Amino acid sequence: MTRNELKTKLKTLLIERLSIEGATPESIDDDVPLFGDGGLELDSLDAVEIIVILQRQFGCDVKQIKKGSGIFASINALADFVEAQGKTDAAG
Amino acid sequence: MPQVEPDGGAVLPITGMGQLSAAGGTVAEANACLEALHGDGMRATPYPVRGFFGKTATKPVFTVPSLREELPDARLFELLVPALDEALRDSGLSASGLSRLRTGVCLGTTSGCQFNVLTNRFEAIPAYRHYRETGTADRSSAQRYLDSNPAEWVRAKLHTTGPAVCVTDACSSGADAIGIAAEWLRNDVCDAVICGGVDALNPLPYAGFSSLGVYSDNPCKPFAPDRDGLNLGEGAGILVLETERSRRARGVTARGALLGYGMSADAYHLTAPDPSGEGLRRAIETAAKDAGVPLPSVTEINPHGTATLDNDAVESAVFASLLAGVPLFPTKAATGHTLGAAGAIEAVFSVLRGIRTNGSVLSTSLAFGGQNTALMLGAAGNAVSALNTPVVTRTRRIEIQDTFPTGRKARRADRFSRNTVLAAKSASGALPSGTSPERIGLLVATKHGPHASTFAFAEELVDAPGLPPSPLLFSHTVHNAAAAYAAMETGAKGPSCTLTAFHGVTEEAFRLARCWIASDRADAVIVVSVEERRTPLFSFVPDLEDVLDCFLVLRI
Repeated sequence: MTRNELKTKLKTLLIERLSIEGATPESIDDDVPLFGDGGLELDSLDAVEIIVILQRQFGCDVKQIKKGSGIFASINALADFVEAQGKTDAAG
Repeated sequence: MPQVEPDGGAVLPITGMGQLSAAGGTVAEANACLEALHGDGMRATPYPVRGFFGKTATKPVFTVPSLREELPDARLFELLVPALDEALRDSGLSASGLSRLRTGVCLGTTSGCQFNVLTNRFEAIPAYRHYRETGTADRSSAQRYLDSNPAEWVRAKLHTTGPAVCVTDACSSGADAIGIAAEWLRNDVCDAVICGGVDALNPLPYAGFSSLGVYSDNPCKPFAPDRDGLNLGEGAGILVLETERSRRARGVTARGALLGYGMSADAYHLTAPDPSGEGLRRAIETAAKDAGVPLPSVTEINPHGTATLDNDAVESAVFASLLAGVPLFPTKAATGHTLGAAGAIEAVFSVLRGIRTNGSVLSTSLAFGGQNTALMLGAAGNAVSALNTPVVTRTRRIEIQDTFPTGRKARRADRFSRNTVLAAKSASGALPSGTSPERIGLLVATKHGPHASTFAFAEELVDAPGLPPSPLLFSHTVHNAAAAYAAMETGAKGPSCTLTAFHGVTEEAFRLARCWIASDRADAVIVVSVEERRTPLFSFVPDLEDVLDCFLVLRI
């Protein structure tokens, strides 16, 4: 999976699983903040759902994710995390 | 003797108590465990919890004859019946005694009203697996489910004649059942109410809380700075609550008393408590006023104390500002979090503490969906037996507007919750102008709850047993998720309950709405009746129908 394919897949999963209304993979910028004002404005419940998506869809080991580690900053940051784990070929 | 001021509601004698939990198989055993847990210094030290894979129930010995017959094939009843038996024995109420009184049954539960987890601990998922493999539904498991609403089962078993309903408000269910019992007694619906809560361990909440990242693999440490989550437990707590008139007529001694209660909704978030603690504060202040116990007179607090970061932080902040210096008596290190039973088991503990300290004990419960309940309990004290003055109410059927609000708060709602929000929003549009949010009550009445989300969640467990299931789906398996969304979308912050029963559940919601208005807890109550006809439950229960009705109950 190329990085662009990975990012599109992450966006598609987030839109579906978090019910982000009116969004398409194309409408979500790779660097837009996922949490906090001015971005997608996701909350703590979305965050735990994303952690489970990383485990179920990409086979990630999420034990080392700590608060403030920055992996939830943006789609790019999530893609970095998945790529660093070398699991981009996992089945979805 | 608790100090009681005359302006509160009727003080209700507790004439019987029973409990079964990891803290002990009887009230006396639990009392000994609590003494060991806290001693006189009230220092919470972890007690080994018989947690998720542990064993709990001791072999029950039934003295109430009608309980000796075979139990339904479900863990839940193995837990419920010994506690029920103990409470009835304690109250001196025989089966014939019960039939002479107008006796109600109100029980809090979570798993007790879910089809796919109701039958024996893990048996339901195999039943569902069988359905998936063969496409045929095992009707006998469906019949067991339809016969096993815990409150209706108790009514049938004991031949009681009053209302019987389960309250499914997640972690505050057990406390809410006691509040509902108080309404039935104070509004002359019942002479006695068997109330409390019961929940059995099952894989759904275990997986769900783990996915949410709030489950600790170590014994939980309520209010400790290094606390790292909750442990689940299982059990039952039962109280026989009675009017003072009925207690006197029977010539029995009260074990303790329910002095008052308060209930509120945060209208803030599906799972997280409002960090400001505004709703919890209102519930506590309402309970104190109702009890006629000024806050400075509270002798001890039995907090919800789940040992999750968020719960304990909100409780600490509210206690520090309202009840500074009052000792805390958290008990989930001894019992685990027994979910729908927790508020009731802890009410029993609070009465024991009230007897020991000869004071008034505040017991708090905070649920998913931002529902807060506070009970004020104590030793048997000065009886205040006045009934509420009946008020005239009217009930309006509300036409449901077919537009879903675009508010971001409800974006994640499942179909059951979306329908409930649709109905509740329509009703809130018909409220008299100027109705204060804190004076709007909300009741959701359902037979089956959000079963489609519950099955979808169970499916994730079946499909990939080694992987964590979706915490979002888990949040929608609790029956009161819909009420949480409805509160967020309408801003209703008054008392809120989700009632579950197979017979007459909407009528029970109307009755409770009228009680809340007569007790001056609400000026208006939104009542939503909701069912969804979805597979696979539809395959098991063929007469399942889609239902969406909405009503507004108003004071005249």
